[in-house]
Amino acid sequence: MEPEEHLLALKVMRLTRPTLASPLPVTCDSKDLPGNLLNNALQQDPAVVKGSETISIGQFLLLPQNPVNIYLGETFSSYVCVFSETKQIVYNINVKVDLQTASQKICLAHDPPTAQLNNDETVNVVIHHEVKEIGAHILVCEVTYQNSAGVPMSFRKFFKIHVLKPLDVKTKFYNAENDDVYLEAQVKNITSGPICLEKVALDASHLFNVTCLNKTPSNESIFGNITLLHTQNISQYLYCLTPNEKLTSDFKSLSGATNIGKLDIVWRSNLGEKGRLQTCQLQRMSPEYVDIRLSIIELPNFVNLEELFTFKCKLMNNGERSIDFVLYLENTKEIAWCGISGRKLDTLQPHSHQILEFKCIPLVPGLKTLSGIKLVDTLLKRTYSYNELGQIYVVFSDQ
Amino acid sequence: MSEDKQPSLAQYFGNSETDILNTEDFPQNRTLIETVHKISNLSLSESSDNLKLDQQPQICTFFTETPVEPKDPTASFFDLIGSKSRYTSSNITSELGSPVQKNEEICVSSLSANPEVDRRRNAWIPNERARQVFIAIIKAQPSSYSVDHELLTMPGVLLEEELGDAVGYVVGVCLGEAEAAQRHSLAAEDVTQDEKGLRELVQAGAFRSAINLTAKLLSIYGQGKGRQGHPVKHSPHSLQIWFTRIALLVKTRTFDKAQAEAEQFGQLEKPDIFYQFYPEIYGGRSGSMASFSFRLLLAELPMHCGKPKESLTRLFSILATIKKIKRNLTQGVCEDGTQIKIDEPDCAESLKLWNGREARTMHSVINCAIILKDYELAMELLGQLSERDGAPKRALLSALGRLHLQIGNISGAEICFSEASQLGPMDMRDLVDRGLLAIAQNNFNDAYTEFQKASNLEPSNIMILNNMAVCLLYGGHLKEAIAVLETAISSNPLNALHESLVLNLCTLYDMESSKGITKKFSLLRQIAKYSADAPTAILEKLYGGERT
Repeated sequence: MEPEEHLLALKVMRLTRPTLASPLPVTCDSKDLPGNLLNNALQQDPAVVKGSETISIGQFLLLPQNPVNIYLGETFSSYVCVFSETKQIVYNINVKVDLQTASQKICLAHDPPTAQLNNDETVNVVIHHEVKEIGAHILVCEVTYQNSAGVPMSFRKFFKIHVLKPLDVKTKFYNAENDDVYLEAQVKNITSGPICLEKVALDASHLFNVTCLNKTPSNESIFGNITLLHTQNISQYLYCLTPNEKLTSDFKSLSGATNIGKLDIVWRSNLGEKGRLQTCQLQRMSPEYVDIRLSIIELPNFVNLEELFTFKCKLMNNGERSIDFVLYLENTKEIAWCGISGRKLDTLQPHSHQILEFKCIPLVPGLKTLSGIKLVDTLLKRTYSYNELGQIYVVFSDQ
Repeated sequence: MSEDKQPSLAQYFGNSETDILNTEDFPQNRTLIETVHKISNLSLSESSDNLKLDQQPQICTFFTETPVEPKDPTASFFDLIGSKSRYTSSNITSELGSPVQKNEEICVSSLSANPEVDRRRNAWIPNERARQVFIAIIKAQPSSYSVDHELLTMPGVLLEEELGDAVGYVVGVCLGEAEAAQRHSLAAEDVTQDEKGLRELVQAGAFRSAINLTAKLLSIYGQGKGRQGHPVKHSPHSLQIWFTRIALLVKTRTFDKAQAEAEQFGQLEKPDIFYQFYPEIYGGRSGSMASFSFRLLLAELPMHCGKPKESLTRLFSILATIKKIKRNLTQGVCEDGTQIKIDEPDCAESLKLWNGREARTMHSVINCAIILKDYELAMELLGQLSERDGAPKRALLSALGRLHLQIGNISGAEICFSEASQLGPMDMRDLVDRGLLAIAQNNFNDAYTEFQKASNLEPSNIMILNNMAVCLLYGGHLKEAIAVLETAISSNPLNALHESLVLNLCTLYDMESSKGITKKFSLLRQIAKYSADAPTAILEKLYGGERT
């Protein structure tokens, strides 16, 4: 900047939340040497809270004494004070505050000019800005004014701010057989202090309905009353997304539905300092798109050893031609099928489905996989084998 | 205090109703306690004629002329006030009001006055190693038993130089020697070189001078400078001087020095800290010669020196012993487990005392947990405390609410505050809590309104004025904020020249103009005038500004 002397000067203070100060409790018994002097001193301390004198959770607001980090999603607030350094009256004071980010320049304050400023008077500007970019920001404060002779003057001051990343969000998707999608989200606190997660919600795309799995049946959070996250700690969330009905009937569009939605996160730290973030659109891997699909729609979890049980499957034809299938059932060491193998099924029209019912007897106890179902397309002589259709837990019968 | 009164910390800061209740049982105490009230009201009130008195610039005259404050029943933190039922009013006055010439007399006389009270107060369970030593002493021929030095506590004053007048020094550097010379702060030499003088210094707030005096008094006991590592006979009185010394080092935030000297005492578990170690002097008396406050102070100390985990371990160990003592009492035996029958009322008194000490120790654990950022522990303990019989539930809920606010859990704070406010009519504390809640919601205007309502209830409350000033700043009214703080200081300098308030004001001065330093110096002048001592943080803020 030009080294010329200015009649005005400018100071900036970041307005983070104040803290609550409390005195250091040093107490004694009235029979001790200091008698009640230490206790009286504590009690008369203006920062003490009556009734809980020896608990260091005060009511006395202390302005921020040390620089505090700023994180993406928080609101950057500052006090800009312009004061006169001369006995002369200064005219038409104009204070303009801009924030220069890597990509843009944002105007934070441009109040109408102050007509005149006497010695010992100040122009005060309080700015607020929700930071939406990571990295270096520069606060640019520009003051223009006229001296008593009417000569226009101006100066600028720059303040560098570094915006840090507050949270690390990791997601995983699981496509379930019944077309549901499970989303596992890990939210890690990478700020320097503890934060309270006030809200973590999945804002689903219109293709899916969301069930939040982070609540108990009685609608209480599984994290307890507060979700306090210490620095470097992770909180894990689980959501179930059910495709809406339009989507389930059309497998092609279901397969194309990769946009899941956005995670909306609100957190607070010291004395309610708030931050909020929304992730970008979360994308799942699209499930494999196939013309012929056999999926379970009804299956018991537990079955008795050597007792007949039934399950149902849905056979879908997503293709453009009608297909004739022959159904083969192959016994395994674990399961014996009950029914006719090599049976011809009804013709399956394009974009239609039929429900198949299977009966079988489990031969071995334990967690078993249903396998041995084969479908042969009689026209193309193509075989579809289903060896991991579903799982059952085989138990000994109660009797 | 009536016997059926439930133990709680509330009684240590009891409201006037309970106090009146107490005196009704003992009519002869009534006038005394009423005067005590008058005095305490006087010293706390901000009435204008009172202020004129307060504004006398010379600290010496102001403080030394004040008589040693009579016992204020609201001011004790651990005392079981119930035990006072055994004293007549004249006992109380002689105990604290009249100067005591010979220090040893205090212990001996109080000992003879009521051995029961002393047993209760000093009870402690020695560890196994100490117990073995006591058994050996009883079995050995008189004075023929020699103890391994490892089992002895051999303290000496470690602080090399005397602590000077920190405020005076900074005044000298910043404002010149002429102004520094005008400052009359109370020095160790200005008072009688005994316990009474020590109390005078503490009363005057001349903590650094008081620390200097403790060094002198300890050298009389052969525990002065350079005496560490030499075997000495401890007495309740010498340990009281040590306690006072270390307490004041903590109070002046001279933590490293406090820690160094405190380390010589370990956790007061060595046998020579107990009466049993000196059967030839104290006969069959048992218990700890070091007071419970000393134990607690030593346990708290590491957390001020960056070792909160160590404090936590020590505090829990104290809690464990208290639980044992309480169990012994409920089983009808002596505190330390010896099979001595205690009268029912005495046992109830003891339980009350130890319940109070337990609560106070839990407070220390809470403070330590907050330093450790283990907020879950702090919340759990606050919850436990508020469930105790006769607990100051409202104050505890309010504190819990503020803890929630501190970590950013607004809905949790709201629940606590509303629960607290349902326990009685809206008071000043509730209003301030509501103001803090509004700040958490980023609504500084509403916060200001709440603080203003609170201020109408207590116009001279410094904390409320300070909070209003903070709101004014966030609303863009720097000058008004400064004016509020300056008015607070000029109307009540003794109270308002408080560390946090001065820090706030200095921050505002820095913002307001480039002449901040001149204003800071005038603040320093006020501190020099009214305060015997000032925390280093303030002095650095005032002094540090000079260099920039």
